[in-house]
Amino acid sequence: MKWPFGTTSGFGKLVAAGALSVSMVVPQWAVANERARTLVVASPSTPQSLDNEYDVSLGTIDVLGAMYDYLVDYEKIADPNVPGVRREDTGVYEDRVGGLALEGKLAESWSISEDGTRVTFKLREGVKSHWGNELSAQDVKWTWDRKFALAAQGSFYTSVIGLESPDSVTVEGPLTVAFQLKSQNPLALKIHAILGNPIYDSTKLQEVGGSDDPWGTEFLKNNSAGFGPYKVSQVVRGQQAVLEAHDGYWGEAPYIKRVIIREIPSSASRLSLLKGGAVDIAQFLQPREYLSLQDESGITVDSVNASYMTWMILNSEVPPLDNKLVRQAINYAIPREEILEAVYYGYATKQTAPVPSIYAMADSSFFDYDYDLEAAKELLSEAGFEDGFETTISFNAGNPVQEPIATIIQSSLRKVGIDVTLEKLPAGVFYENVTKRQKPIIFYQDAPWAPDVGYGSYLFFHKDSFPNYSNYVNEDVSGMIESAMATIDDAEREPLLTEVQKQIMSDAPWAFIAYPKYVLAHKSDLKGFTYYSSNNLRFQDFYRE
Amino acid sequence: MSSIRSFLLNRLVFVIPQLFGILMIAFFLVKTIPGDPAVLMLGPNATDASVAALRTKLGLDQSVVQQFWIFVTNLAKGDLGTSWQTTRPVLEDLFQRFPATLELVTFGLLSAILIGIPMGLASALKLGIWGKISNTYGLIVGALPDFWLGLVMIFVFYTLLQWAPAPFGRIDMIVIPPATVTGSMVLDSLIAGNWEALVSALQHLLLPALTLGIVASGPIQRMTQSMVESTLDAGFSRYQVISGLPTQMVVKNALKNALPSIITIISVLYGYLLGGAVLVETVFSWGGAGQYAVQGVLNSDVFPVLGFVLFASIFSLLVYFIVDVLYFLIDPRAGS
Amino acid sequence: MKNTGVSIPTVNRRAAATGFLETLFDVFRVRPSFAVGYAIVFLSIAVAILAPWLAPYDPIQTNGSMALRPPSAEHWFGTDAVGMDIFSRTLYAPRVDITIALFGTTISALIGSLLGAWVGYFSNTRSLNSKIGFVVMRIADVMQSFPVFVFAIALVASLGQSMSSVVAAIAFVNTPIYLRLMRSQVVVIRERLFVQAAIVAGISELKIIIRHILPNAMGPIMAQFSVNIAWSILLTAGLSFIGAGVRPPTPELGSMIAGGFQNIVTGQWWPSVIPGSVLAVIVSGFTLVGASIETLTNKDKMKKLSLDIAMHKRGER
Repeated sequence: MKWPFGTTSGFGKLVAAGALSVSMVVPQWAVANERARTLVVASPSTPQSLDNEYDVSLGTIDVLGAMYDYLVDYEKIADPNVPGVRREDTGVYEDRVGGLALEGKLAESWSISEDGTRVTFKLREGVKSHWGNELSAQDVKWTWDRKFALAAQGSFYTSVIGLESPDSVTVEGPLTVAFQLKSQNPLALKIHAILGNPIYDSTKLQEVGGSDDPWGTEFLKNNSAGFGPYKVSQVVRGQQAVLEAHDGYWGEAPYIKRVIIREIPSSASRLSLLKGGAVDIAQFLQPREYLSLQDESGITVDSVNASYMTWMILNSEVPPLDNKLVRQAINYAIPREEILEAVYYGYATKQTAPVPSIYAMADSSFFDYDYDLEAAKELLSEAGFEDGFETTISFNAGNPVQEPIATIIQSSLRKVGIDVTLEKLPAGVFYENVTKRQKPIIFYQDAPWAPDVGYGSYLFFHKDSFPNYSNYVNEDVSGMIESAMATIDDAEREPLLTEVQKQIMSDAPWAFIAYPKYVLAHKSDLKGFTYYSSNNLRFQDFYRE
Repeated sequence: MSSIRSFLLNRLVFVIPQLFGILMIAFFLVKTIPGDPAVLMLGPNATDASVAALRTKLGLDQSVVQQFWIFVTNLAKGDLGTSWQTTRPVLEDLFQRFPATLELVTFGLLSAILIGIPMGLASALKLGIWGKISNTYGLIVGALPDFWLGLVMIFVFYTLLQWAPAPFGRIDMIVIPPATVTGSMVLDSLIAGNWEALVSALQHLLLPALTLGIVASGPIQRMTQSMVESTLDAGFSRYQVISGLPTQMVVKNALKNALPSIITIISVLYGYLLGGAVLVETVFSWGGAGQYAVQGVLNSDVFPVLGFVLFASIFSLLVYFIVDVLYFLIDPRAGS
Repeated sequence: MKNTGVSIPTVNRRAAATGFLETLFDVFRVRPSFAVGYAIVFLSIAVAILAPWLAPYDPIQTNGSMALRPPSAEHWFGTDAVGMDIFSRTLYAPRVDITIALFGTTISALIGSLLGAWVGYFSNTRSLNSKIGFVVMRIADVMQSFPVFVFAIALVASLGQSMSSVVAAIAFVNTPIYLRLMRSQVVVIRERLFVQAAIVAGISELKIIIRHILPNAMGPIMAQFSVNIAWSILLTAGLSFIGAGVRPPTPELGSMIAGGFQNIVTGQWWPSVIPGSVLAVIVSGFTLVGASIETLTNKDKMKKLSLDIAMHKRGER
C-alpha cells in the first residue's frame, strides 16, 4: 500500500476485481459494468473507528448504515422540494404501531404492550451475517448488553428510553426479543431505527474478542460484524475505506457492489475530482463550490432540508457567559443574514429554534434575535458590561465554513465591545475540546438523529445529558423534558415541549446560527439519493441510470 | 585513504549520541504539546475508566523520563509506536510516506541544479542579457514563498490552462500504480515498464518538483556565480587566459573549483527540504512524511512526529556522509 | 573597523571627501539592485507604521454582501471570502510579519553572538569553559540537524498559538546560525596581536570580549542578520499558512495566502496571489539589503565594487 492510491487501491485494480491488470484479462464491457457497479466517494475523512460506541465522526456514520441492518427503518417518500430525492417518512399514522411508518428490517413484526412499556420484536428467519452466522434474539440482546457494559455512546440510548439494566432486554424465544421500559416512552420504537443502534453478530464478536475483549471493541474498530448489505473490505485511515457487497444479504442485493471512500482533505480537490469524473460523489464541499457546480453538465447538486444545526456553545459556567443577559446580547449581535449570504450562499436557513425546524413540534415563534446591536448593547450594560469584555471563540479547522462565520461574528461582536480572540482547533482535537466543556464559546454542528423534539431537547439541554456541552442547567426545563419523555400522548407532549423551547430560546445556552441543508454533489447518472435525519448516506440506496 | 577512514569513523562516533540528542529534544518538546492521546484515541464518548486504563497501557501515567525510556527501548526493538490518527504503526506509515517526500525533494533538487548552475554560470560570465536575467532571477527566486509559488502554478497550469492534472497526490486515480519496489512512483513505473503510470506520475510530479526546484535554484545560482567569479578573478585563471587556453577550458576549470561549494549547498538544501517541503506537500496534497509529521503536531499525535524527526535526521546525516565521500573523490586532499 | 565603513577611501578620495550621499549615489548607480532593496525595506516599514492612516477600510471588518469581489476602484485588491478589503489587509499585514521576524532574528542574533563569542574565546584552551563550549556546540549540532519547519511548528504548538510563540520559535531555530558564525570569527580574532596584548595587560575576559572582539566580528553577523530577517519572514508566513502562526483574522500575509488557497481552484486568484506577491517583494528587499551589507564586509566584493565605480566614472568622462 502506498499513499495515496496504493497498489491494491488503484482504480484499475479494483475494476479488475483481482490482482490482474485490466487490459490483460477483463473484456471491455465487463470493465464498464464493474465501473458502473462501483461507487467512488471523495470524502473529507475516512472513518476514525467503525465502532459507533466510541465514534460518530463523519466517515463512521456514512459506513454504519451500509454495514449494519437495524430492527426497523422508516419508510421512504419522495422529498417534497427536490425531485428525484427520497427521505424518511416521519409523519404520524394513527392506524400503525406506535403511529409510525416503519418497515421491518431485521424484525419481521413488532408490537407495543397496552400500557406502552413493553416492546416486542419478532425477528426475520434465516438472516446471515457477514461471517455466516444466523441472526438470533441473542444478537439483539447482546447488542444492548454491550451498550450497558461499555457505557459510552450507548448509555445515552439506554437511558433515553428508560431501560434500567441489561435485564430489561429479554430473549423470549429463538427469534423473539422484548424491551421492558421504566415507563411509557415516545422513543420506544423510534430508537430502533436510529443510526446509532445497529445489530451486531454476537457470535463472531465473542469469538474474536475472547475473554480479554468480551465486547469485541478491538475488532470493531476496523471490521464489521453485522447483517447489513455491505461488509468492510479494507480501511486505511487517512487514505481510504473499501466496502464490498455482502453476498449472503437477506434483502434485495444492492446495485452498487463496491464502495470506495477516499480521503481528500481539501474541498477544492474533491470538487475538481468530481468535475474531472474521477469520483461519483464529492462530499461536504463549501457552499460556494456547490454554487459553482450548478451549471456543470453531468453533475447534479441536490440540497434538501436537513436536521443539521450550526450553533455556538455558550458555556454557562464560564463568566461572563454565566449571565443570561450576556448570552442574549451575543445572540442579538449575530448577523445571520450576512452569514447566510456570504458563507452559505443560500444553502442554509436561519436557525430559529433549539431543535431542527423540520421536526414535528418544532416551534420557531420564540425566535426574537433578529440582528440588533442596540438591543445587544442595552443587555450588556444591564448585565454590567457596558465596556464589553474579552473572550475566545474556538472553531473546527476541519469544517471550512466555521472560520468565515467566526470571523464575521468576531467583527460584529467588536461593535458591541466584546473583544473576541479566534482559536482554530485542528479537527483531531476539536471534539475533545467540545466534550471537555471548558472553552467559553465553541462552534458546533450536530443534529438529533431521532426526528423527535423531545429527543433533541433531552440530548442537548437536559442537565444530565452528556452532549449538553453548554453546561446548561435549568431544573424546570429538565423536568418538563423528563415529563415529555415519559408519555406517548402527543396532546400532552406538545405543550410541554413548546414551553421547553420557549425557555431555552430565552435562556440562550447557544448562539443560534443556521440550519444548513444537506447537500450532495454527485454525477447525474447516479440516482437514488435518500436523505436520513442522521445526515448520512446509505450506499445501498444508489443505482445508475 | 586511511585519513578519510579515520575522519569518517570519527564522525560516526558522534552520530549515535547526536541522534539520541535529537530524539530526546524532540520527545520532550512534543510531550509538552497539550492534548491527551488516550482521550483522542478513545473518542469523545469514552468513560473515565477506559481512558485511565488506556493511559496505563500506553504508559502515560508515568513520568516523562520513564516514558522516554519506554520509547527508546521500543525503538531498539524497531517499534516506533503507533499513530492514533491512522491507528497504524508509525514505521509502516513512514515506509509509505517517506519515499514520497524523498521523490519530491530529489526531483525538486535535480531541477534546481539544472536551473541553478547554468544560470549561475551565465551571470558569472556576464553573458549579456542572459547574465542580467540570471542575476535578477537569482535575487528574486530566493524570496518567493514556496507554498505561494505552488498555488500560482496550480492557478496557471491547472485552473487556467488545464495542462496539469488536479493537484492531488502522486498518480492519477484511474491509473494502476506500479508495485512498490523503491517507493518512488517514477522509478517503480520504470521498473514495472508501466508507461501509463510513468506518464501520470511524471505529470503529477512536475508542478510540485518545479516549485521546489525554482525556489531552491536561487541559492545554487548565487553560489555558482560567486564561486566561479572568484575563481575567474584569481591569478591562475588570468594566467590561463593569457596563455591562450580556450575559454571553455577556463570555465570548466573554474566550475571544477566551484564544485565542492556547490555540492555543499546542495547537501544543505537536501537536508533542509526534507522537512521544509511540507508546505509544498500540503499545497499539492502530496501525502508525504512532512505532512504526516505536521498533522501529528497539530493533533497531539506524538509518535509520527518522533518517527519523522528520526527518519529525516538519519537521512540528512546520510547525505552529509555522501558529500564527504564526494569531496574526497573531487579532491583527495580534502579528506585530511 | 576597517572592513565595515561605508566610505571607500583607497580608490576614490574625492568621493569620500564630498560626502556620504555622493558615495551612496555612486554605489547605487553600479549596483541598482541595492537601491531597490533599501527602497523596498524603507517603504514596507513606512507602510507598516502608517497603515492605520493609509488603509481605506478596517482590515478586520467583514462585509458579507461584498464577499470575493475582484479588484475594482472601490476595493483595489478585491475582497476575500468574508468581504474584508484585501488592500487594507495587505497594508497592515507587514506589521505582523516584519515585527515577528525582526524580534525573532534580533533575539537569536544577540544570544547566538554572545554565546558564540564566549565559546570561541575559550575554545581549545583546556579550561572548564572550553569543555562547556564543546557541549554547547554539540547541542547546536543537534538543533541544526532538526527538520526546521517541524521543529518550529512543534514549538508553537507547545507554547500556544500566539505572536510571542512564533517569535520564540524563530529565535530558537536561528540561534545556532549566529553561534557558529560568531565562534568561527572569534577563534580567528582571538589570535590577533591586539587581543593577545589585552590578555597580557590583564584586562578581564568579559571586557576583552565586549570591547575588542565583538566589534571586530560584527561584519558577517550584520550581513547574516538582514538575510535572516528575509528568511524569518518566509518562516512566519509559512507557519501561518499551515495554521500554526498568528490567529485569524489578524492581517498577516501567510494566513491571507492560506485563506485564499480554497478560492484559487474556483478561479478567484486575488485573495492569495496579491498577498503572496507582496510577501515576495518584501522578502527580496531584505535579501538585497543583506547582499549590500555582505559586500561592505567582504574585502573582495568591496574591491570589485570600487573598481566598478571607478570604471563607471571613467566611462562618464
